[in-house]
Amino acid sequence: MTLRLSDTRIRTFVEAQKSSATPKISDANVLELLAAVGDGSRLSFEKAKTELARPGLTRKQQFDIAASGLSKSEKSDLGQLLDKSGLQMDPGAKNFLEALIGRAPLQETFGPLNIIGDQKNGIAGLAKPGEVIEAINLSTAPAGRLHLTDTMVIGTADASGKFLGTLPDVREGDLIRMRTRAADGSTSDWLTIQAKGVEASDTRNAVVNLERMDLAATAAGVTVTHNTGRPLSEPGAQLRFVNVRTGEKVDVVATDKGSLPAGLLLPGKAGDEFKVSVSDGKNNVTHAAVTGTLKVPGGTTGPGGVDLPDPKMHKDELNADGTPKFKLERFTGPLFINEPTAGDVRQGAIGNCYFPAALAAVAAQNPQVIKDAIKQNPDGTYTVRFYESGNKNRPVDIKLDSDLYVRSFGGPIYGGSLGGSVEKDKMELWYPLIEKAYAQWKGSYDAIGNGGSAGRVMSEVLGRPQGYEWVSAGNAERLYNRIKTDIARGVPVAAGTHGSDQAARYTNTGVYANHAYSVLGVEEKNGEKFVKLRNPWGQSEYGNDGKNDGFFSLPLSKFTELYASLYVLN
Amino acid sequence: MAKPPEPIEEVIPAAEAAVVAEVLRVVLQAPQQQYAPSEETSRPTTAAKQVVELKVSRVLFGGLVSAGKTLEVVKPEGAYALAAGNHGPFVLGRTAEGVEILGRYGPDTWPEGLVQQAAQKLGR
Repeated sequence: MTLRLSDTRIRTFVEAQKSSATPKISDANVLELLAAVGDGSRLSFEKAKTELARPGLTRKQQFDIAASGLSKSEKSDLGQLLDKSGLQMDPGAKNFLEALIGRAPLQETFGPLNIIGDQKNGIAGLAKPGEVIEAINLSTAPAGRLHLTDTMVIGTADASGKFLGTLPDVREGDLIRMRTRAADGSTSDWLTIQAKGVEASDTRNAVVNLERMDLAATAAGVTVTHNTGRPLSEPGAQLRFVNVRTGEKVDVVATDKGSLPAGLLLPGKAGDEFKVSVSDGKNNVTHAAVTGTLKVPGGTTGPGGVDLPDPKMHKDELNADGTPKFKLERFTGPLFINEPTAGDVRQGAIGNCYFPAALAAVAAQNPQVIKDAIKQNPDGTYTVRFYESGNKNRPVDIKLDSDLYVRSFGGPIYGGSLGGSVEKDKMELWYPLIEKAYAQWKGSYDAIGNGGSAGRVMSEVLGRPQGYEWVSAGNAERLYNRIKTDIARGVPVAAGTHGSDQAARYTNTGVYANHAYSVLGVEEKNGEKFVKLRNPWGQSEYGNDGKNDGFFSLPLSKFTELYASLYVLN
Repeated sequence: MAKPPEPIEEVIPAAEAAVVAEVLRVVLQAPQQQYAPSEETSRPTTAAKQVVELKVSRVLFGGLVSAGKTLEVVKPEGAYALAAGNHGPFVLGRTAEGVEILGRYGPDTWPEGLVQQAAQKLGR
């Protein structure tokens, strides 16, 4: 039958199909037809085609693109294709055409797994009886630890093939990826839907996980690589990189695996910083909200100017190829805000409790020692002085810059300061820089991050020989008096708890096994003796004084029960 | 050696549930390596894996178990150990081995209020 098609592109499409060996309107080539009707004043044909092929787009979104440009004559053309063309059609393709001319509702899924209706009361649909339905929320996965295949079972199809499942934490507009699993373990293809009916509007933006990207300067520009098998954003999310130095911006679309397009190259060089933002197309469309900043390793940056080699991260924070999982940022805050105190010190995510416990003990007893230990140089760098083997005659000067490894949500990952802000232009720097210098001296953060001796650190900071004593009920009074005397003389003291093999005695006490504490003094209340201590985490303590700042007093009897060793200077 | 608790925002997304519970009994205790006393204040040592039975008094979020029920969970090898009577908020996740306690120090990792706040903030 002769077709009277008015749209040139539809006519060309049909002619091409008719001259093909296997003429058919398929789920793949129907996008050409959708683009032919979707083009118009808002979108060109080519732009519409690109939009329709965007990864992660749902059938509804594809339908909306086509419907937005559909004219009366194109409607008539589609009607003719359905009724008179004689072309074979995939069910999904046919439903697109029927829905566009209003002959049938749009079916949002086709295949072995069909989703019915919205997700107001859960995820309902049809599958083969007995098959389980597995799902993952692609919108939240990048912020967590899940791989795309780390699905959870949300339901099982009953004897008639129906299922109703629930996936936690689904919000309006979230992308949900699902598949079926048969009894023999075989799985269907993935099906992705966009949750609807859950809330009045889509207000949760896509996330982008900056820790999953590595930047590197090359001759051609800055490469950006995805450093893990876990997704870094949701499929189809628009990611924007803005070079802080030049203002140049690059927009890319996350792939269907929540990754970066292959070969992504940004204009920039070593030392440049890039602001990264994300939009799911509904939220943050102007990219006004920036997720964070990534720095290209190397180069010369910051007001300090000089960029010195940095100690390597702890092995837990290195990728398989030895590159760091976290980026460096230049901190430019003050070295000291008022006098150094024990309360300034915060242990980071590294097993070096002995170091902050020792430094906090020194700061508490003799802040001038801290002030003498670190100096800012005229070129913006810093020099920290330690003493080898606690010998005042063997000083070791470590020169360093103020670049610190940072978390994606800001603040240093290793030692930080509790003396105020953790923002890079405000944070008090004395503790994190002395810790960095110690890592530099000993070889890396790994070299200092697997346990150690608080006594040795106090000795290396003060240039005095160290000593230690075992704690027991038998020598409680003597240790109490030793602490009292040392503190009165301004000499720092630290203590360590028993090892992990005795961890059970610590649970629910507020004191932790295999851990170092600063000893800040002793006191007597109502005839009972107490030892004053501080947890270098700056939180988590014995008792409940309502502050949870790490400072606490422990009855002497409890101290001898929970602590194994006392570190002193001779 | 003892590291601070993980930022709770990094743990909640992988959690299936959080409950307030008490350890009824230790069902399985893996062999515990004994460590000789050392001059070091802290060392890279661990407390052995356990399987414990929890009696749940309240559910903070998640549908893994309901209040009043008991549940066997894995306490992974790590920085703490559990004994009957230990109590507090337990954040739970699912691994190949079954339900596992998340958080570096089990019920002493975060105060209950912080778990609730984070769960609310993250829409759990």
